[in-house]
Amino acid sequence: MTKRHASSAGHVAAVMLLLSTFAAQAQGTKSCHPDGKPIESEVVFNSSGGSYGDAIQKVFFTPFEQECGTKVRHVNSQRTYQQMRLYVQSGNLPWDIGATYADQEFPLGIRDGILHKLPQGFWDSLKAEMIDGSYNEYGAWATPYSELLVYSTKSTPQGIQSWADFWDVKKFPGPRIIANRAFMLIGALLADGVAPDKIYPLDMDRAFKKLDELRPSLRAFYAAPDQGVQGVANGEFVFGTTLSGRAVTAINSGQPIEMVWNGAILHNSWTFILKGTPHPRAAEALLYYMQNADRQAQLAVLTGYTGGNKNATKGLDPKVVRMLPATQEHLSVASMVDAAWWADNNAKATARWDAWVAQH
Amino acid sequence: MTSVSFPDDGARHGARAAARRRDVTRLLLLAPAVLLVIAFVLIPTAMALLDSFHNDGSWTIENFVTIVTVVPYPRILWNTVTIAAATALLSVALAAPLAAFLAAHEGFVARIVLALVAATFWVSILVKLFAWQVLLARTGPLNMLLQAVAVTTPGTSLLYTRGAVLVAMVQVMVPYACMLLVAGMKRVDWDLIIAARTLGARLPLVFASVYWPQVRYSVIMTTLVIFVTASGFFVAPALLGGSGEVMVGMKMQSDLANQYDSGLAATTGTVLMLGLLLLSWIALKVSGASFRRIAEEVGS
Repeated sequence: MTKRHASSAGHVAAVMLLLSTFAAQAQGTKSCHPDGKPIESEVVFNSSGGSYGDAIQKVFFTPFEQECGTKVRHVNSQRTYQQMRLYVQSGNLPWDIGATYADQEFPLGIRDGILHKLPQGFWDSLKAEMIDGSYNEYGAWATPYSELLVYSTKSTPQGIQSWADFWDVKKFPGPRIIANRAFMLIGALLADGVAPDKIYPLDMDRAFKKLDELRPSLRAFYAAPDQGVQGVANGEFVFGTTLSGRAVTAINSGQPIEMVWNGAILHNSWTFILKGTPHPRAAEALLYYMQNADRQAQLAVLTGYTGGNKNATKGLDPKVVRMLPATQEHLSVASMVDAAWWADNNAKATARWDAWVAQH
Repeated sequence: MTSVSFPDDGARHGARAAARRRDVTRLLLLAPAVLLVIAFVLIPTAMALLDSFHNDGSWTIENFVTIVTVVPYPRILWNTVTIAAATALLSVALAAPLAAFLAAHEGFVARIVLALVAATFWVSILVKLFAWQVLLARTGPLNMLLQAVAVTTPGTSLLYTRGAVLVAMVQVMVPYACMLLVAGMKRVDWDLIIAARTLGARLPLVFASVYWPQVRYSVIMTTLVIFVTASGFFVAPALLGGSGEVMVGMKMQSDLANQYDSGLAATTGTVLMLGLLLLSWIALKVSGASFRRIAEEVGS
């Protein structure tokens, strides 16, 4: 590197600058940034940890360290959005890159100007492999997850196909369990015949009216998604909702559970970089690295979730693929949560939801 | 620099210095606890109190009006008070005979029983709650038994009901009630009871006029402690209750997570705290006890 530039006296200053900035970078490793230029020697990633944290460490971070020569420090913190905004405002960042913990965090972060903007043309070399809408100038999908209907193959062998069936208490009598979350309004509208891509702006009055209809059969509103799938598995309820990952765990442990992908509520999950990070190029490189199809395929096997790369499911065991929320087949029948709408209306919708649940 | 001192004066000085040293030692020993309470109880409580009078950056009592009038807050406060009261009364009633036994006996059997009560503290509350989810399930052992003797029909379920929440909360609180009661009952003077019996008093009279006055304060205080603790329960109603068992903890959590503003949650907490203080005061007045008398009782 120095030899090439040293011949030209005009480049000496630039070389010095580069050397001083990236002095700690290991020699001889290729750059993992899409523009091919060197990256910083360290980057800090924040995740919620657990088995998911172990999986991304194994699939993304450890190989990134080996291939790109940059150390990935993996921290686990239960931060809130407000805390994250304070990090950026105070210029004191405990980490550089991480994933959202709730739908509205990504649009809020863009609006509040706390997210690092990626360079022009950052995604150009990867665009063709990525699902539409799974990337933008502030980040890319981490692992979108679905909230969906489940039934017991033992008590309802014929199964149900939709939220309309879930609402049909004449054909399928019996108690139901749903999440104690305002996102259930989406299910109510789907049951009322609204198309999955026509939910927004969400008509709350119509949704609550539809919920009133089912109220006598709604026996419980769960705090933990496991309650939904366990309750259906052991016959406490005829149908319920849960997160796809919990249903997969139940199915893999031999429970008589089947998922209904039609009308699945697909939640946003994005990987993003905080504005003002001291390691912008290493963070960008890691973000890019995480979109690789093969690595996302490995993640699918370990966790049952993938990101935005279309090719991740190619060559995977069909048994794994049929349980993934972000495959083309499942995306086409899902209702994607409009994070911007929820960012604006979550407070109001949840206040109404809490009142509706407690008052009936 | 000459000073005249009398030996007597020096001794008095010495005694005063010793007293001062004792005071300093006492203060130093108390300091950690006092500082802890100030830093983690009084200051946060004061901050929550200030926060509760804040809405959109200005001073207002709007939050309090909301808590008292707007659906579903009054309902949730009522749920909380009734569930906590039922838990407190049931826990004390169930724990009292056990506590009386433990307070009056000291042998091998009593030690084993005490160890068993203490052992229940080692079991995580989550484990207890999930156990109830299994036990009370529609296809669980209890419902199967009840169906077999035709008390319930296959359609009924015991989970996600007021009963399920109460059973679990009482199970969690009984050991605490027992420990608190034992401490009070240990101070019962049995000579007085023997004297009353010797003088011919029947058992109901002995209980009412000799035994009960000696344990009354500790029973009332235990009931209050359990009531206050139970009113803050969150996991039990969330995991075992239905929509009729939403308690303030659950609503505060939802408000904190979804309203981007801690004012309402702070107000709920403040109202609950003031309500509990008021109820405690009324309970003590009605029963003829007072914080001062209980402090003296404990101190003696």
